[in-house]
Amino acid sequence: MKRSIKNLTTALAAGAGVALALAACSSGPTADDPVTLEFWGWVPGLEEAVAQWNEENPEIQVDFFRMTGDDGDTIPASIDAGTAPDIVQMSVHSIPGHVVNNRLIDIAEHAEDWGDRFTESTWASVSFDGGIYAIPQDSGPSGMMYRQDIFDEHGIEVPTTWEEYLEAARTLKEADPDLHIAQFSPNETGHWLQTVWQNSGTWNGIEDDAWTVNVADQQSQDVAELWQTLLDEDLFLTVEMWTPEFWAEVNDGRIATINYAAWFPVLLEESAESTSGNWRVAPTPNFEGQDSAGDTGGSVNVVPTGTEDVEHAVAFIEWLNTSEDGLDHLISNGGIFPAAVDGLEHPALLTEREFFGGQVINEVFADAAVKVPATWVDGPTYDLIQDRLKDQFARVANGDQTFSEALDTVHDQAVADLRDMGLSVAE
Amino acid sequence: MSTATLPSARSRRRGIRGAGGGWAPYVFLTPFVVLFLVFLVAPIITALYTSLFTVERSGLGFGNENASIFVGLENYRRALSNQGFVASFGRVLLFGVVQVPIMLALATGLALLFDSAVVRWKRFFQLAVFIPYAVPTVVAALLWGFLYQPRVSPLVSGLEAIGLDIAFLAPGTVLWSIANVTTWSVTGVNMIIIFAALQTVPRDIYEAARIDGARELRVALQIKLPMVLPAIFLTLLFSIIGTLQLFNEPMTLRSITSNVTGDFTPNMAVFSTTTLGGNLNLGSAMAILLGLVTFALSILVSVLSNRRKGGS
Amino acid sequence: MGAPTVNRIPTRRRTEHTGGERPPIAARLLAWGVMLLVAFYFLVPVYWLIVASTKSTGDLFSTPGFWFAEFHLWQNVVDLTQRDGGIFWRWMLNSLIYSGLGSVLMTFISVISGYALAMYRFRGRTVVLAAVVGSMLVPQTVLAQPTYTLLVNMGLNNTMLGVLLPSLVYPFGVMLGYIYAQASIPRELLEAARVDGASEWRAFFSIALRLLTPGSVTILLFAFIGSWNNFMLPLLVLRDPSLQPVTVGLSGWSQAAITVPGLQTLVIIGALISIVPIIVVFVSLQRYWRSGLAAGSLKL
Repeated sequence: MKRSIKNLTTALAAGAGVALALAACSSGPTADDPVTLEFWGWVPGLEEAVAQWNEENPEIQVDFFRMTGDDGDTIPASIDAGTAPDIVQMSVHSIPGHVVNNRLIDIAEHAEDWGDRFTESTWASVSFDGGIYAIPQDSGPSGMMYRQDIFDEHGIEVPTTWEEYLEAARTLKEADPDLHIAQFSPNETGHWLQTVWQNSGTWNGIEDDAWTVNVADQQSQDVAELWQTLLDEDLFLTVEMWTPEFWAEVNDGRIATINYAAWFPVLLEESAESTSGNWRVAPTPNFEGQDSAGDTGGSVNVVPTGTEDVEHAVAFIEWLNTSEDGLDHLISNGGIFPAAVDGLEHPALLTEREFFGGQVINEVFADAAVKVPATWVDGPTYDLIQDRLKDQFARVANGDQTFSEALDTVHDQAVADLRDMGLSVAE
Repeated sequence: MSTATLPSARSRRRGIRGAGGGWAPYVFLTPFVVLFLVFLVAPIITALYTSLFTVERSGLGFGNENASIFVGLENYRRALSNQGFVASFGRVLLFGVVQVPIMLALATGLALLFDSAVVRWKRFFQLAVFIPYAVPTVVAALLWGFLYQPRVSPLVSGLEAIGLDIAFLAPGTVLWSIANVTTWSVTGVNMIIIFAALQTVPRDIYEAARIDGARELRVALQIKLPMVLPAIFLTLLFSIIGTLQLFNEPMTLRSITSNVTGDFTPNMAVFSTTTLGGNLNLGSAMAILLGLVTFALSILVSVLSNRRKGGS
Repeated sequence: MGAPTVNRIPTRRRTEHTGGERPPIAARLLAWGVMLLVAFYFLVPVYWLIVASTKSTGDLFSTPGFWFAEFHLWQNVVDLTQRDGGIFWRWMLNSLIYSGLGSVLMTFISVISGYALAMYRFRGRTVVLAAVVGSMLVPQTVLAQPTYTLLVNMGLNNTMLGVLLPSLVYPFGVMLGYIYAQASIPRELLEAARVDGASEWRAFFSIALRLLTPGSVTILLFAFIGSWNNFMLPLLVLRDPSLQPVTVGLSGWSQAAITVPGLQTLVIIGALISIVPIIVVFVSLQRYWRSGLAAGSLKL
């Protein structure tokens, strides 16, 4: 009884909302009576972008708040309390977690035809079960940053397959036991994720009305086998990424390649100044017979539950992420790697980089962006899976188990975590 | 501290005011009590309430109504059957059994030294010991994190030079590396509480002892120490509470070593469940269990210490 | 060499300890050795912070941690000041407001509550005392989310008041206030005041408050440090960066430093600057709080 009353009120409220929206549409906001939208984001230079929008659209004014970064705590709390802004930038991986908590609005009715404006993989990662819950902003296609001087010194050709990569690693190791082809960082699951993604894998999927857990699928097992070899033969240098220790190793030239996302080079430039000029970028090596690239996932713009003027919020998101002006702000001032196809040819993106010996490195990343398989599906427990992988990979690094065993453990945990949330899991 | 500070015998000795004052104490207490009810009692009740429910979902969980349903103590049952959560209590207890005595011994020793005549430059050294307490724990953990990393840490290479090869962030040692950060941070404030207590000991008591030819050390251990036991007890209790609620240090060190797991301490397990797992109901139950354990342990320590006091 | 410096602190309970023979030379040398070791242990990480704050990002990772590289301190301060329109100094100012105003109010509430609990016998007194003690055992993680929801319902989210009000609940301060009042206010004095016809209100403000001043300074110091390091609540409550305290702002930068270039050095120099006010407060209160804390501790 109680429930039906609640349903009735919800229906009435929804009806009132529709009526209001219709009323709003018929007259529409004007410059004298503008709509005001609140927008939280962290890309540098968004202030200028918003200022231009506000000037050109006096009837739709945007208030911008700068976040220092992706903020896992404040956004859900504010959406649940009904104080959320109308537009938020967030990590693409957190979308389904928010959707199952009713925190995001499905904007498919406004944006369902926009698929060809974005790279295939970024568009796939905002579409779930017929709904579209976000618009892609940036992405992190993978590339291989490598030390050309070290490769030259040891007569190594740039590897194009993981098989060749292993060979190169062994050659380096033989020449100098302190020299490693790459670092393994149990705490940084990005490398793992992008390689699984490159191999057309995923951690989760959707089958009819149930989630699947794919953490330990063959696509991941291939990566496990590759990494196990690198670890067993001592070709990996085990060091946590982002730590001073890691950067010291990079500066000392003990790590010959870093396979990572398009947003990484700028950090490398800053933190490894002493190695300037020695780096180049090549496509990430491939599994036998494939020609694909990985991705770490980027950020998106969403419309949180509680937003009244969805239509105009989406209009602003569209302008920011797909128009020439919007992309210009994001790329030139923000320094992002765009998810929009048009952005991939932007002149500000394709500049020569002194640190990389004058190479136009983003050509490599732009090529990679369109080669990322559209297979990745984030699940509602993405953060937990990531955290559990870290814990299990730590045990791999300590020699207590293999990558393959780690995957099996995380698979079981991930299934249990989804069931704990009351969700269906197909096995 | 409940039994140590609640006025029982003491107030009787001091004479009871009875009805004196009338309305005054109520007026004086009003601001605190109002704020206390609003910002402490109300949130606790909310958390208790939340812990008795769970969110009902089905299928993918998309577009459902996500109604909350009453499940009684089910969340508590699930929390207690979560191995990682239960194990985290064992970990912080082990941590406390080792770290708290060492830290308190250090704080007491320093306080006694500062109270003696043998130390010069007291103000400077006291400031040196206290400064770490002024460093926010997140920053403290970052600083030590740097000093724990092989290859960049002058500390590690210094120890290597004298033949000590210590991996501060290895699975077996990381707990004690965290203990070191905590000790570094809080020794100063505990030292100050104990030192202040020492200052109140009437000097004539041990002036007499010194004339007897008793040495500084014996005076410290046999006369001063027993007199400041209540202050040490207070610091002990705070340390136990702090240990059980350990969060910032391990959380920060987690970013430089994965040997600190996501559910390393009870508070981290709560965080992981609430923030990463999005399960506020289960998280509330876990946090309340943590509160209960803290409460029980504090009572236990109070009772034990009181019994000792009564005996001596 | 004269009298040991401790004797400069006046306390009612102590007789001045003048003269006294100097400890044997061996003991003094040993004490120097121990003190130097202790200072080394407690100051080394701070030393690293100072060295690191003089380096550029590149040097931070490629030069020895315990020695200076190219001196970049001034540039770091300039960068810090220019970042996001000088928001760092705004954070410092906010922290000073939260901690300064907050700790004064907090201290007043603690002292007046502690006084009431110590000086009067009234109905509900034991309940309040038990609640004060019990609430120190509540983990912050229980409170964060419900408190936030509450503040939203009160319309106080994203306001300075939303951070200030909850932080005024400081059970530890009330307990200290209670202990100090017991220790330092002779009941006879109050009785006398009452006989003279002073109101309860006047008795507190004109007699008790003065006697409680040293104890209050101690509470003030703890309250100031406590609220300077307050983190969880402002993080949830404040979405507007220009309202955030420095701990929240720096921690945000520290997380973002992984992917946003240029932040690493700012976090370090910012951390260094952020501990300066606490050291200033400590040093300037040093002479007062000792006697205050001393008066209380004996009674614990």
